[in-house]
Amino acid sequence: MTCEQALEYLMRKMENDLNHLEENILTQHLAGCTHCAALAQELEEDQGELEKYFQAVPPIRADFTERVMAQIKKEEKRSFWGSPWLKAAGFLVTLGLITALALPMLPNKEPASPKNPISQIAKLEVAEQPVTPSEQSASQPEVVPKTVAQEKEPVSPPAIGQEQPEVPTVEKEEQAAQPIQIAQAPEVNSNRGMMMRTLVAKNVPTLAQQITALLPTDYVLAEERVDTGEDGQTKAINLAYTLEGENCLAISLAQENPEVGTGAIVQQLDNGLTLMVRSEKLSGEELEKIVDSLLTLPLTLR
Amino acid sequence: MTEEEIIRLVLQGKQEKFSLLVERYQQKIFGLCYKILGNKQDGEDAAQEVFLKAYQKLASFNFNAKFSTWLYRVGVNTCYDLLRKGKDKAQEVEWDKLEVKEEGPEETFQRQEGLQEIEKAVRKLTPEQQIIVTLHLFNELTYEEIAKVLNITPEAAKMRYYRARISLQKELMTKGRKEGA
Repeated sequence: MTCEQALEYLMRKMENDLNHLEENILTQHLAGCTHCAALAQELEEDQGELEKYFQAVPPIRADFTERVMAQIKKEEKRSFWGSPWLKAAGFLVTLGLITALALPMLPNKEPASPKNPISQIAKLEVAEQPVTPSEQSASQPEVVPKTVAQEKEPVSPPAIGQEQPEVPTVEKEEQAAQPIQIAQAPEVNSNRGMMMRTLVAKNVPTLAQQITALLPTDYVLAEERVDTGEDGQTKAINLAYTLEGENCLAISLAQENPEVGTGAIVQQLDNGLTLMVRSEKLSGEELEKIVDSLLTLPLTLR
Repeated sequence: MTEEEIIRLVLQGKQEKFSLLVERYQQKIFGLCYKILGNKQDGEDAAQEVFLKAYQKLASFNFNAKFSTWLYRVGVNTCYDLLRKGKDKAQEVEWDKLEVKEEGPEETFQRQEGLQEIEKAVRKLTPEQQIIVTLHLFNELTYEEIAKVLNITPEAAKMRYYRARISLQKELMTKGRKEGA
């Protein structure tokens, strides 16, 4: 055994990391090497002092936790005012104000026709919700999970003694984009992460068509109308949406005075909607990555 | 409440729950920073920065790992950065201050413990050696845990500690500490 090896063995001995054989080898070396023997004694004596030194730590100040939390709050405020979220929220508020000012100038619309593009989405499972008379007339088709993407052309909903309306296609419609309103997302007991994004889909002004255009409907589990105006036009839909196997609690999509097939379009190019996604298992960052990969064109993200 | 539960609550927006983690680890993180940086004020400032960084990076925490390991890594990186910035200054000033200035509570603490010579020897180690010796002897981490903190193998952690310990011993012997003891 060399002195270098003996030194390593001495270190390991202090950690009780030597087996019997190794200990014997070390003992033999120390018996024949005065230098290593002296070093062994020094190490043993100083080890106690070293441990004492490293354990000698004064108590931390009593208000340390309060100071940390105060600094965290301060940093949060600083990052909030410059955050993209705030800028997006500012944009939406501005858009809402423009809409509110522009509304009185719009011509009166016909009540919502029985044709309901929502029926395209209604291919999916529908939650139990009361419907307005105008929506009842376009009764829901048989609930069969089916992606709209599988449909080659627009499908008319089965009628209940009603004239079948012509379901407008995206290409036919040259409607002005509808103003945008953010719906209240349903209250949830807990959510791990949340992301919010403003999306714009050109030439797809109706709520249902935007859902079709923007979100792969393979992942939609159920729809639920949460806000239907007096004129029967759907203002918001909650969708139970699954992203890569994780159930999001809801995606709320909202649009004020949605175009349901006929009528004037208020804002053709600025039509859009707010996509808000919550998940019980995924963080906001993870949600953003997944939603980014799922969103389809044509699409402008803000 | 487990640490995982606390972290999940914080990530859900319950910011105040983070204080539970601060309470749990403040003395350990402060001790690490104090031992590496050499004085109480710097140690507290660094510890505060460690927890702030931990909060800001909490979304990146992998729940498969131990929170303490992750937090110590943040602590080590913080101390290492601070050491690289101010080490020279500390070496120029610190010992003079200890010798000539009026003894404060911190110095009394050290003196009463008879540990000033060891303090000086520790300060002669490289930052990496100071960190690994502190993690083992103060934070009482195993070599496996040190390996995870420093992102090295347990064998490498063990050898680095041994070398640091031997350097410390040589420094103690060089200073003639044993003379007249």
